Amino acid sequence: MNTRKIGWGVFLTSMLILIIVTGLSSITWPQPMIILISLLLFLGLLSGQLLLVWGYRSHLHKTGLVVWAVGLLFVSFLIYTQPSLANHRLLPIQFLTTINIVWLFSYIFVLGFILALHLYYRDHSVLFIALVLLMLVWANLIFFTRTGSDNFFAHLLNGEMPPLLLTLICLVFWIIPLGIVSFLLHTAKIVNKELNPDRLEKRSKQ
Amino acid sequence: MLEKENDLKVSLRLLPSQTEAAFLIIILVILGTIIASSIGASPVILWPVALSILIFPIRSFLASPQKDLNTVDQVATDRLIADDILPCLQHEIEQLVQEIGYRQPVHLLISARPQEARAFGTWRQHYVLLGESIARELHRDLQEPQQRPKAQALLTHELGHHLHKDVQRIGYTRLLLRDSFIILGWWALFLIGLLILSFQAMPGLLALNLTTIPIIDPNISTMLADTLSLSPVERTQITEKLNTFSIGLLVNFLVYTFLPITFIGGVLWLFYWRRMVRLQEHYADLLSAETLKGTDVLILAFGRYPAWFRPAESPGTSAARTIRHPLRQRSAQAANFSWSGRSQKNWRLFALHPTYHERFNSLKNPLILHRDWPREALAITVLVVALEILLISPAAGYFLSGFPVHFVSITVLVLTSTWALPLMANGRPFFGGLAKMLLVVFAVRGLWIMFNILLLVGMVLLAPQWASGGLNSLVIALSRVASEPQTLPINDIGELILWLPGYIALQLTPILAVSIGLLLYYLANRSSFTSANPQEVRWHRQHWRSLIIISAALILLLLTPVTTIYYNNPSSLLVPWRLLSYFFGIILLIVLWRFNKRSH
Repeated sequence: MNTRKIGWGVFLTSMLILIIVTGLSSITWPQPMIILISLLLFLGLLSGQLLLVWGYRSHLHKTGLVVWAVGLLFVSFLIYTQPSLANHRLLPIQFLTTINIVWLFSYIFVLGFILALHLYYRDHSVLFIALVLLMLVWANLIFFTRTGSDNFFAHLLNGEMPPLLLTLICLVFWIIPLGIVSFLLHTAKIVNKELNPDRLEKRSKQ
Repeated sequence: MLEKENDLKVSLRLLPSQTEAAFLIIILVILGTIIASSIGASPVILWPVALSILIFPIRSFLASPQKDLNTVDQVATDRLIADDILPCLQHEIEQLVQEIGYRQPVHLLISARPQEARAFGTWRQHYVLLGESIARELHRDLQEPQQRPKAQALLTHELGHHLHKDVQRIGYTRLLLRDSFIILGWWALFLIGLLILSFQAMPGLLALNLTTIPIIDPNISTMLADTLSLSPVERTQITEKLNTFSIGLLVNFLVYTFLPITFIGGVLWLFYWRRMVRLQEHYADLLSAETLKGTDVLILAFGRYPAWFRPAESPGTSAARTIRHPLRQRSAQAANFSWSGRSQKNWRLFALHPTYHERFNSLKNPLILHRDWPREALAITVLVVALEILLISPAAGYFLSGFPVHFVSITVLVLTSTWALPLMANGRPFFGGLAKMLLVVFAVRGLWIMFNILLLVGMVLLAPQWASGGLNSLVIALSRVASEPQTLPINDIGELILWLPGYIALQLTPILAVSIGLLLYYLANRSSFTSANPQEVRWHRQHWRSLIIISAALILLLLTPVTTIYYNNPSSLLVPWRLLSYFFGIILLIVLWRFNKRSH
């Protein structure tokens, strides 16, 4: 419970500082100051979110939560690629998109942590790797068909990709290594259980 | 009053079952096809596909108990331990395990579902899962002398699934068929997408100049360009190599390779696997009846624990009315599991349990499972035709296209001999049923072949370009190439039509081969059928040994020579290695005769 409270505290404080700093963007900050504030904000957001994930880790065996987490990443990339979506009567676009970008930068790492915990609890490595790879290949193919051969690589290297593709690329970088480790660990557990069924039976009876 | 039981010389449980035969054939065909896909030339690397089909079903099977273990109700378990019910039931199970001759420990677990009763496990983990409600009921019945045999009947039935290896065979078959459908479907979609993308993007990738990309630091892009860039010669070589491939033919190869296996795997998973489960329920019932020395106890147990037996239809027959008499009120609720009207018959294809009527009849006359030759003939035909479609895949077709009648001959021989063995072993008439079964199997298969031939002829007459395109794409896929051929393999469809009469005549060979095979099988095992101590015969070993030897002899002495003649190559019949193979085939038959003589 303490972890959750601390996590919420750190996260919300970091978000508040981020909002304030972004709101004061008209002030010209010296570069070292910008770097320091950015670093602190990034660390604050990252640590806050990591603490939250750790505090709520008991829920991370639910696949729906992982889908929701990935959906959050997708929405964030959507706003990143189409800033007009963040248009609000009261707040300037730049304000919301800046917050989105800073938060997104930390969330990419938090998502890795979420996936690692989920794959530790559930043997879903094969499913995740299969889905992500399949979607990545076909999303790239559709993107290639739309942009044409000449523009395809230029768009890829400039980061000018659809949000779905950005999400999938980000997921691939996490899911492949984590999935392989999870697969091996779960396989070792399964084989151990098969080779030593009685030992586990005695342990469960105790 | 229940009719008198038929006494059997040899219990069905001592004999190999249809499930065992079907299991072996399905596993050999699917795994053999998948492994064959990674051997020999191929336009696409397929060994990762083979590895995934080899590993994932086994892994899923070993992991399957965990899903059931997660349904264990620990609170209910603690309650039953406190009431001394769980230890008592576990002790009863251990005694029954010894009585039926099973050497592995079986552990009792308590399910969160109150009326659950089933066996599950793997090769080394063996469990019986009971709901708390049924566990208490069984414990109560075990204390009463009149109800005790019924409770033992239920437990023995579940242990029977372990003894007969149903949990392993049927469990693994289900996962292999499921994964053939899902994993191969995934591979097909993934490889098609990846190859199309690679082919279309490769020219752009080869022409990419990293130094012109604005967002990359010039120093980094220069370093990357030096490391990753290709010389003009290398670019030309890659481009020329790419131009020899046709993406259309690559996709054609992948579709032909994966679609038959995926489709047939799915069909067998939906329908045939369930038939195997239903069949094994009868064998588990027979074990109960034999252990308790009577079928009446088990029949009464059907009524006492109706929710456990979950009939596939409502009891409406006289046999069912007899069962219903000692039923308690809950049986009426259990009967509501049925589906009335036409949907009932269709739904039974998906049922995992036989009906009351079927269970009752097979207990009173176990050989009824082997007398229903029309149903068995249909099941054999469906399995054989389904697997023949699967073997069209270039994965196996690449190797088997030179042996067009071998698979059907051996498979029909195995399935029909396994069907007939209980009748032969118990001295019951089998010739009429067997002959009619073969007639149905080959007639239906013949109709299927004629349908395909008529379809081909129709296409040739009405849409010759489509027919030519379709046939050429099939032949190119079977040859495992994806480069544009200089000439099409089939230029003149009319010439192909001329081969058809010979092909149709060739289809008579399996009938001859199966007939000879069954005759040899009967002669090889005749002494065991007339043995004074049939219970001591090692039926499993003898059956499979006979079939392996007879199949090998038929392949060497009949099927391959006839196929060679069909392919207009009679001169190769007398080459030295062929003569050696005939000699080896004869040796095999002599070996079989010696085995038979020794066992007699």
